[in-house]
Amino acid sequence: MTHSLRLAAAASALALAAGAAGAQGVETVYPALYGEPSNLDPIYDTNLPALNVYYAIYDRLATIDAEGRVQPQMASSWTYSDDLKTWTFTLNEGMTCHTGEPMDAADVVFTYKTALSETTSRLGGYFGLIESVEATSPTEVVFQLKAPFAPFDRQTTLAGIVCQEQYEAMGKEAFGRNPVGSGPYKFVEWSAGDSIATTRYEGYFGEPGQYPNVVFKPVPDGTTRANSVQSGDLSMALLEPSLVPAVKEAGAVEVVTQPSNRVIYVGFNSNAPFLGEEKVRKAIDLSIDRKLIGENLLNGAVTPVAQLLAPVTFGYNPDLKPTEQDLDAAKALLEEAGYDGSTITLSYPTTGLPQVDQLAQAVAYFMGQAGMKVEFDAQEQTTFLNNWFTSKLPGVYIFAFAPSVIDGNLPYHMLLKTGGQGYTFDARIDALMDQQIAETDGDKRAELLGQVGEIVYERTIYAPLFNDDYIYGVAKDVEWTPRPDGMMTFR
Amino acid sequence: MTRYLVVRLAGAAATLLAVLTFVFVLVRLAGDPVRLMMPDQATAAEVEAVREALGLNRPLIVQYWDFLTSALGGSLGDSLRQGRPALEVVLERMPATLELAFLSFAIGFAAAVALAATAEVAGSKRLRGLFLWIATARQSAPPFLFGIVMVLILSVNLGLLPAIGRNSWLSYVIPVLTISTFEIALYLRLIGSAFDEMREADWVRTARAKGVSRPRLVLRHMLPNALLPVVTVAGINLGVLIGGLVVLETVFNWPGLGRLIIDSVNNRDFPVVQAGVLAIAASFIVINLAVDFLYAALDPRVRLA
Amino acid sequence: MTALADAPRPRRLRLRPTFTVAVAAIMLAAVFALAILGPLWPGFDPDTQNLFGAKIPPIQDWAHPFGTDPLGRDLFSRLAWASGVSILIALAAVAISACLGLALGLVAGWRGGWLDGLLMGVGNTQLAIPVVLLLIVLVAALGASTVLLVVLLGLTNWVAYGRLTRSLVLTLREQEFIVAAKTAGASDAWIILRHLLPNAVPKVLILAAFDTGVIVTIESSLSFLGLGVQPPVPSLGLMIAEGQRYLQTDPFLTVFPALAIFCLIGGIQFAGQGLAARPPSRGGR
Repeated sequence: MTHSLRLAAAASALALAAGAAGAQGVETVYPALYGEPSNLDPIYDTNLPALNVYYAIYDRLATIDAEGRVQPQMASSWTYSDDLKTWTFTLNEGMTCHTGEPMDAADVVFTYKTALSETTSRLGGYFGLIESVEATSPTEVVFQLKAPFAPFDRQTTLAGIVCQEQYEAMGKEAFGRNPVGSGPYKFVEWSAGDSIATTRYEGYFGEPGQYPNVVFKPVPDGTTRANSVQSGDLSMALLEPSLVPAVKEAGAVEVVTQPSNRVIYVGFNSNAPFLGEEKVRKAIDLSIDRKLIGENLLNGAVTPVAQLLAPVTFGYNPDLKPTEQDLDAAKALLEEAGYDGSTITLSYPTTGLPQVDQLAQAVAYFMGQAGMKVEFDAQEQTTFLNNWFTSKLPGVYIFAFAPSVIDGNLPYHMLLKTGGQGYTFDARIDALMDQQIAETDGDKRAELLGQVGEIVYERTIYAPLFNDDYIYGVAKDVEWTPRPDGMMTFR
Repeated sequence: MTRYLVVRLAGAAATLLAVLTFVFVLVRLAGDPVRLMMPDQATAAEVEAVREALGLNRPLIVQYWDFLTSALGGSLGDSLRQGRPALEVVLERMPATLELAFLSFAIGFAAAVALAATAEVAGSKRLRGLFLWIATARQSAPPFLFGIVMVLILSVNLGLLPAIGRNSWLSYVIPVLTISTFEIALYLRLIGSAFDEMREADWVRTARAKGVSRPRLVLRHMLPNALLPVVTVAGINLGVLIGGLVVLETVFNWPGLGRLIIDSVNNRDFPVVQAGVLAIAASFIVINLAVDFLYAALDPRVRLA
Repeated sequence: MTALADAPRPRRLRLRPTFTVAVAAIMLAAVFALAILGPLWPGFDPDTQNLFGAKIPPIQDWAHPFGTDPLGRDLFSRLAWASGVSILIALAAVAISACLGLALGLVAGWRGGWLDGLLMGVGNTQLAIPVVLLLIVLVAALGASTVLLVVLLGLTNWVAYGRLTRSLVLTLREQEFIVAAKTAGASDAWIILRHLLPNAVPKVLILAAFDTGVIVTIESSLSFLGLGVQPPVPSLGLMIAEGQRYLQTDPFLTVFPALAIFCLIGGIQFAGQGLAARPPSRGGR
């Protein structure tokens, strides 16, 4: 009970503070996370809701801005060798941990080394390509990679740097509940299931945090999020497209739209009957009326796309135009392919994507109009994810990819490269992927990734559907800019 | 008495073991947790290494034996996600759920008693019918829908109450209102039919003939007798209520055990799911044991044997 | 054998045509008519989508008297189908638990001893497992399906019926006509089928009627969590769960299925209230 009392006291204190400061500005913002982090130790846990909180508490070597470009953060600059295997980061001076000790190259090396040596570290999974990491001076860190990796600077944006002294003193269990970083907000309190409170760190070396207090609230249910942002319990919350018109109409909050880094796509297990046939895949692609679904079902919160990358993502190919529905062409292709009316399975995760059940029904309906017989296979989200990871989805499926580092390498690597999670491979794609990862010239690399997109389009290895918008309800007295990756930052 | 307690406790232990075994097997059937914890680009070897570090690659029977032996030692294992004891994670969330269940139950039950007694004192069949109508009408709307509508009216449109959380007494109003009003109909019916049976009983007629006033007769004599049979049902119902709060915890974003279990099933955090279901089953058993004793205390005819 | 002739006939339900009963009859008739007659309506088509005509409000287009859903499907047809599905799920689940409870209760009550102890012990165990949480785990393990829902609700709910039947048997077996039958050499099976079952069935049916309403509520809650019936098959609960996403702009999507649930649950409760029968307590001992 002491816990809940303490919580109530903390909340009323915050409320009082907010009331007192109402005139000169907002004291506390309450952003909604769509899930609760299980741990706040960035070495241990890499889930997206946790990552969002890391962005407030921890700094990283580099960061990605709202336009999807990589920018300095702890590192003021960095260089790489011609073979893209040696990366040297120069750190800012005057950085301090929330406890006051200086934060320097040693903490960076500690974070990376721990991630690589601890078996249960999830962060290590991002950095398997690191051969060694060394501090050559208090303000310089050098990484040696096992193989060339062009987007390594982007990759470092995933690793929040912990304070070595605190981490070692507390041990990882305690640290995960009482994290200490060097970011613009320091951790105050975590009340399980309800909120994670942070407050502005006055000793931050750079631009100070935007708000005195940021209290993250995990609210998984979409309707609940929409209601609570309108009632003022939340300051900003992701809205499901179906709820956007109501929130707009009520007018209690500002509605802000941000094109995301996510692409919702249709995938094919080409080992299933007929799906190995390019013509059948093309027929499915041609049967779907993306425009109609986008405008009338998803309330215009999506843009039809022709590739697996969003426009904001590095490697997006601006020349590819989304497929227009053509049922006659679809029927003709099915006939050519000798499709005999046998059942095609359509799998989708029951939660996690906006209105996915309705989207699946619409896709199935359009496939039906082209003459295909579709059977639904709604899978619980985690089961679906495991099946996706292990390439065990039975037929056609609907899913999405949103690369956190906003770069085309990861989605293409996983979805297309031989040995990845995909089902259809292409030697040309493998060659292009090997080429781009070792390409030092950014423009050239983008072009190579763009060529991969072309091959996917040409062979309909996937049928990309939409790049969706993240639409937020934002309290009227709050100024806040959303990001394409859906992370809520207050810098 | 001691023998009764021993038998009941043995039964409870057997029940908990059965529950645990069932959940242990089921939740593992649901699939692998490790691939989900790891970053997208983690290699198969890295995933396998974590699986091994967590002991999840051992045969099921070995894991089960390990689990049982450490459970006997009072440990339900560590959360796969949080790295701290699963029991600690669960106990942290338990007060919120119990609080909501008990409070809603108490208010719903008290309201039912008050309404039934009022109608009986007034001796009005109409009034009783009216109460029952309203309570039944309320019960006919699914709680989650009623809750969402309440939030829309009271929080979103009128701005009177918080829509989510558990941060002040105001945040209790909508959840408690939603659950307690749903419960009234059941108790109203039970107490009402107990009154029906009693009204024609000899002792009631005698008391009335002796000139005992109606309020006194109802409140002092009939009500305690009417409550007796209701207590057992209430005990079971309260237990079921605790396990059924999941849906409303989602609607009100209540930081309770139900939401924790949903999250943990989604994450396949086996130890937390096991500890959570165990906690709910245990509270069910404890409540019913308490009800048995209460029943024996209230009714001198019953002996615990 | 004269003693057998005196065996009390199972008490019949007396229907008092009160206002409440009349209202209940109308409510139930409305839902059942919708479920049974709806599919006979010439415009019945719950499948055809038309995204150009999504969320048409009621009465605007007479081809869709109740309007259309977010995929442009006819809401009246969806509602009729959903009512049928919800009623069937509830009836099937209740039938499973009633039959199971009746059988186990009869055996436990009549045989007594360790079998009684075991069966009631298992019953206790089941009550302690929260059904919704169990279903969450089950759906994770096996995937959501209507069959799973029905079987789980059926299997977990038998305890109330078992206890009711058992307590009836316990009182009956001391009664004269049973004792007489036993001394006359009647077999266990004959006594159970001829005497105990007919006496237990009416009470079990009353409990079943009330339970049907409870199951409809549970089904709707599970659908809200995405654990119940899976699209494109609708159920009343699923329609509400889908409709609540549009509650503020298109409330009719929620109101129609909510009304149907209201009529179904309310109708059963009011009928019980108006009937001479006393509503049994769920889970009563």
